[in-house]
Amino acid sequence: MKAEGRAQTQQSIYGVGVGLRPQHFSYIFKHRPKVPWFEILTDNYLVDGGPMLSRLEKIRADYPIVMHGVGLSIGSTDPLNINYLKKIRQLMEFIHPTFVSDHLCWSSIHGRYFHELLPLPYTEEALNHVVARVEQVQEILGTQILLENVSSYITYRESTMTEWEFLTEISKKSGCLILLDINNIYVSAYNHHFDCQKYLNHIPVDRVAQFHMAGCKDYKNYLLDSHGESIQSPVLNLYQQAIKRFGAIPTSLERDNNIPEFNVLFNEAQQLQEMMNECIYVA
Amino acid sequence: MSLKELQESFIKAFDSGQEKNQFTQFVKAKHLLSAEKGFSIYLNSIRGGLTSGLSIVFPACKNIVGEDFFNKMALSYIQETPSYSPDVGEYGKYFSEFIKRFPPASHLSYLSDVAKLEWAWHKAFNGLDAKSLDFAKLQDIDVEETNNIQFFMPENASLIESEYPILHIWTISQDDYQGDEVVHLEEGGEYLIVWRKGLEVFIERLTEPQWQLLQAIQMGKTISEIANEFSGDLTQLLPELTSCGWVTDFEVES
Ligand SMILES: [Fe+2]
Repeated sequence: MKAEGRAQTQQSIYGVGVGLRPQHFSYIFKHRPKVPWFEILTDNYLVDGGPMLSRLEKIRADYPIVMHGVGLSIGSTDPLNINYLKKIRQLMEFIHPTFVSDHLCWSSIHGRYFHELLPLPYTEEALNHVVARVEQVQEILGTQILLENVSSYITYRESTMTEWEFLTEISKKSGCLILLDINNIYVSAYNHHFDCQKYLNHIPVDRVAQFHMAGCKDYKNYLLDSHGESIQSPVLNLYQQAIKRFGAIPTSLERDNNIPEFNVLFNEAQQLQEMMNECIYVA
Repeated sequence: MSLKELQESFIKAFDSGQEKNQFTQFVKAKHLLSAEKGFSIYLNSIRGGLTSGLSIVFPACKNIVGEDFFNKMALSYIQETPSYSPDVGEYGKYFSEFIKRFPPASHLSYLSDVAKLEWAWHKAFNGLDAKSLDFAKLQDIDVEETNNIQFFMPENASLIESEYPILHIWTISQDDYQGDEVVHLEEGGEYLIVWRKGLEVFIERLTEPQWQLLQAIQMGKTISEIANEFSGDLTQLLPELTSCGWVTDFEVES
């Protein structure tokens, strides 16, 4: 694996980036859209060779990259998957990402993977468990990681903390940063009847490094974090509140289903960028 | 309840597929979202995610049987096949074997082999890049050692043998295929190699002698072992395989 000149160092990122999807590779190569940075789905690139890596290398020559994974299973009571972490580290050495993130959840037990972001109970036990593992992961990867709040459809009887308390404590105690998914806050708040604003107000400003924005789907009795449509307007409002509190935090637009032409995502990202610019201007 | 107990209960709950289970006892019921409903959202999301993962790796199989049939087949596979890797791309490893034993597909005798071909394509796509054979190094080998040479195929390559014309079936089952859609099973079987050179995956038909030689190479046999049991002309075949890019490395067995 070789890396081209500009890609050899980590770059700072600003503004609104877009989730990189294989459907858009050829468009991006052809048109070189003015996107400040891309977010990749880490797990799609943990391969031995071939077109995925070579396309990524081409993108990396022109854009900063952040790595966003789903396989870490940070909350699992299994031992950490060292083989997986080695692959992440290899990919980091290849593309020098600005951030490396995954989710505050669990997805495996006894070596079985469910490929799903399952929520944790918010207990002291889970807190201490995750903190110790984040420290280990940061040691192995040689970098501070970002953990993202997930959308959820269940909460547990045993929980003794709110999600924002749990997330904040994990970040403070382990030293990791927070990737705050604004849509996930909205979805979980609807499903579990909490106040989004209260959530935002309790997250310490200095611990948030990145925002996510995405679309969700209304099933009346609950909201589903579908990533298959454009962003709902209450989520845009919440984003505005978030920028007011946290500042112009680098934001990425996620889309995983019903993936439209690149331009549609580009325009949606532009809309977020304008909101960000406006808030900075007002401030 | 410990964190471990909670997570372990999810395995049983998932495998049972029942909405009321050990795991949901730990879940708080909500006004509009019961514990059972919450669990079933996860159950469906996991099944849906794995099904779409399979349909990405096996698009020709999906086109052959149609979406409904494919989804039922995938669900049945999911119910008996746990995933043991964080890489969802590994999940289709046993799909071809499963199809062979899946009663509703028994009339589609070739389907399992088409799945095998698609899996080989997937492995070639994401596998290690193929090297090219180092002829200078090969010429440096002492004459008395030539018998101990062991050749290697590219690591991303697979050999597939089928009683059916699966390359033809695969070709007409591609999303963008246009043309005659008739395949006669009497066209007969074939020997195939699936591999990647540069960024392109190739599926090519092999002659029987080519197939036999590549199989012997894949088994790790040395040149002298191959020469003893092989009836074809090695001096002609070996350069042929090499020039096709199907033999890309060697070692001298000591
Ligand atoms: Fe997200």
